[in-house]
Amino acid sequence: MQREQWETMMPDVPENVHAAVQKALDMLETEKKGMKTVKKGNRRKMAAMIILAATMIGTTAMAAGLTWHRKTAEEFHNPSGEIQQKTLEEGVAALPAASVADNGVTVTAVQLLQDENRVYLMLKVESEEAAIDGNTLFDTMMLSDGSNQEIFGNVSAYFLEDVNGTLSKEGYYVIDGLKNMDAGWNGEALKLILSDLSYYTYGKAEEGVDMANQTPHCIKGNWELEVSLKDVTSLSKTIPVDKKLEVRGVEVTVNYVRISPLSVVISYSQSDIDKIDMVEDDMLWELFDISMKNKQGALVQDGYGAISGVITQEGERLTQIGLLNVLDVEEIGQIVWGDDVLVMDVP
Amino acid sequence: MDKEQFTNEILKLEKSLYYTAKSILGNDEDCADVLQNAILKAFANLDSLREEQYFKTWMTKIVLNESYAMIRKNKATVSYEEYMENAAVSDSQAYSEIYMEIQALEEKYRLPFVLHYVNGFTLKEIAAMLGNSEAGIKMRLLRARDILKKQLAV
Repeated sequence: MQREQWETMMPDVPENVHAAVQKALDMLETEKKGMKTVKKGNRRKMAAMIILAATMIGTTAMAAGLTWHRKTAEEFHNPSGEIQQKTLEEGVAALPAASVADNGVTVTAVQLLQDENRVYLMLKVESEEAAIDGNTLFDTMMLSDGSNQEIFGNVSAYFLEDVNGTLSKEGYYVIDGLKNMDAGWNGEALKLILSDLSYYTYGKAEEGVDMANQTPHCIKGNWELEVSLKDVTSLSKTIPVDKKLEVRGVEVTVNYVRISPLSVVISYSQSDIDKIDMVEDDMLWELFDISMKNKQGALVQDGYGAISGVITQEGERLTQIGLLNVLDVEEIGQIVWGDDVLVMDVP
Repeated sequence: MDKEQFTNEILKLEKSLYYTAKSILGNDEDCADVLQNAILKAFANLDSLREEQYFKTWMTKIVLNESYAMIRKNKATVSYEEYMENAAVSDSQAYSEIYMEIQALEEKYRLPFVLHYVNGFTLKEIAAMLGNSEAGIKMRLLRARDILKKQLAV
């Protein structure tokens, strides 16, 4: 159904609401508000510089008082200082210092988050020329462990969007991937190659047109970074479940849940799932619609990000879920599927 | 942006802003209060909007914040569930069946659904407004559609 069709299903704006809007508009003081314009910097060609920086993200204890990069903290709903400190000490979080510059654009790795399933890397991108916003992108991105490029089962990469719509000479680029469970990637290193930064500048919106005129630009360049990763599998915990989850009238066996700080893997019986009546392109959201509470009963995780998974030769469907918050795995007290369809207390 | 331009933009967005507030509040009286507050706040802080093309997103975010503030204020006296139950009773309009089913969705599904399918925001914009991931928003939209399909056989 098209958007216009949905609108016809919606009610009209009630008279009292319209009156309130009109009243507010009548109350506005007449005032000229100048719009700030984004000045285009002079283009300066820099000599091409590629600095390959290998970072060692080790297990050394972090000094007290270190916190996550503020942008990463915002993206993960501002975890407590205690959780930030703990993740830095355990190696789930790291503050790398790798940086590379080419053609006036500097890319710096500012924060890494990792667990046994997921790698989240935040890069700061600074440019003397570009006007960076949520529509900016690198034309090419290659991720590998040095030889194998199929290291992620699901990966997304994007510039963070500023809701206020600021255009800036700096922005934050996120690479967020769930590891490919088939690829045999040992997760020891992540090699990243970014090419050609494309961005837009915007003219004034024409009357009656929603989007302002966009002009594309491209800064040619190559930016390579290599980031060493840490084995943090010891921070994950397997919870045997051996219970049935009702999915569309079929009882599906939940074998176990393996919880990590940034992700969850749930093992289901594939032979049970095969009994579910599904149409093409249907998605079994019931398998990943979970929430979690801590031992005090407080909700610590609700909702899900990226999803990936495999069906093993042993007949398991392993569903991998990227979480929206960072978890203290040892504090998880309860896992809930859907609206209390299945509730599992964690000892 | 001067007062006249601001007024024109608000009137163009009136429906969209109302649907956004209604997705959270349910009660037209509260929607009226929220929109009024949001418009006054927005005009007072117009300097914080750097590019006109983002006006709709920016204004919607202000309405979202004001709506949640209204919920917190009302929660002091009644529970959210009781508030939403009373909301439908107090409104005077006759609604379409589809709209009733949309309003019956849980807020975590209803709000992204209205923002995307009715108000026309992209997944990326909605993720930025609600502090969620694009993938998470996509899943919620799928869930909302599944529920509506079952309820309406659409």
